Amino acid sequence: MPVSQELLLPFLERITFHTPVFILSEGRFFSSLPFLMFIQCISSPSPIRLTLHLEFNFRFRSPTLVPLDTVWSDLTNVLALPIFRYPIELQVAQKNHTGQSVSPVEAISLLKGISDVAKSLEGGKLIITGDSMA
Amino acid sequence: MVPTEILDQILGLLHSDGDYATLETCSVVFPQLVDRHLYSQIAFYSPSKNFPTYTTIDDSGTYPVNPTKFALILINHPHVANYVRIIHIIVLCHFESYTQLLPAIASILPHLPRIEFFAVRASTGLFWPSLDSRFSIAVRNCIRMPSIKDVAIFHIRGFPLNALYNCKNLRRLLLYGDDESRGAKDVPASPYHRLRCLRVDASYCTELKLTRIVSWMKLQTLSLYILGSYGDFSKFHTLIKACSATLVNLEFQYRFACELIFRDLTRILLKVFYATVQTTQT
Repeated sequence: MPVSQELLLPFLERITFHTPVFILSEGRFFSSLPFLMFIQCISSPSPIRLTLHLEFNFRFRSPTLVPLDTVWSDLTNVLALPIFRYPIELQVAQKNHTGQSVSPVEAISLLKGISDVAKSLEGGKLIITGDSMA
Repeated sequence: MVPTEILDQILGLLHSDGDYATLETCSVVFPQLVDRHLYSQIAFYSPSKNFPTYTTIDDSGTYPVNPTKFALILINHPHVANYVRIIHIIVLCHFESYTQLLPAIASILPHLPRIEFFAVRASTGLFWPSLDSRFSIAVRNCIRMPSIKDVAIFHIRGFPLNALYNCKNLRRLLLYGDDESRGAKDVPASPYHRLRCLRVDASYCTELKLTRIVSWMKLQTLSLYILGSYGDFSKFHTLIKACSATLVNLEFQYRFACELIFRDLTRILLKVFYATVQTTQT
């Protein structure tokens, strides 16, 4: 994805990224997280807090979605940008409460299955916050 | 006799639970006390054979009212006009909406002096210029009232951004849907001193007029609602840059079209299910 020209945002304190995440029956994730690459062009003199709010959703397959496990390694480069001096906050929510959905606890254990996520959690670069802690 | 404060608390709980049937019954005994809760947050809709109930609103505590009946309520109980703080107008794409709902709402809006939140929602993409002119004028006048702090426009194509001119006390603005009116010439300069939060659909981001308006704001929160293809991000650059001097919070809300279709389908199936259960019970 091409990175746009630099965007200087001198007073920016927080970026929040809300995205649905789809889990297939075989346990693979699909999401729009690759969009986060866009924030590489943002610069700021002060540190910025980043929150990733993932809404786990019904099981659905679409050819336009990108597998999450294959893009997280690219994301690690974004999360390591110098503007993010605070730990990245990861919030997990259950989009609906039907049998098709995935509970936050189940979602977190699935996320921890991705080695890059597990590494970031262990290193304190990524922290799980909000309702998803329940 | 239960103290008024406790009664007020109970009524507040009934309202937040959406138990309007009980509140309507209570209203016969304590009209002044109950009406303050019941009519604080209302949704105008047009009853129809195809749509027996109003389109679901995510916010709880919104009382669905037929505007024709509400006009009669205002005549019989004029104090109700002062209680209305939040209005949702739901325009469905059917004949009754155009012929009955919109003219009725146009006649009601000038009588509601204390509206703080104003939202217009269309069930599907609706073209603003095709709507009843009395309704359009009433909406323009309404959103310019000094009491208005929040305005939300959902799925209405061609909504003129110059309608927001001179909305001096506007704090939050939400624009979801396509804007087909191009060009920046007809947007007069306006200070928007108090506008701090803008939530906007990605399709508006290429809109020159919006970029120009944003540059006049002291915007602190920009929330971008993205629906569709990956190319959308390139559209945000100009808009974010226009408010870069004051921006504190930047939000990206991503949605997939398939997800919205699924949500609407679920709602329809639930309505059919409940209707079937009710028919079976009766």
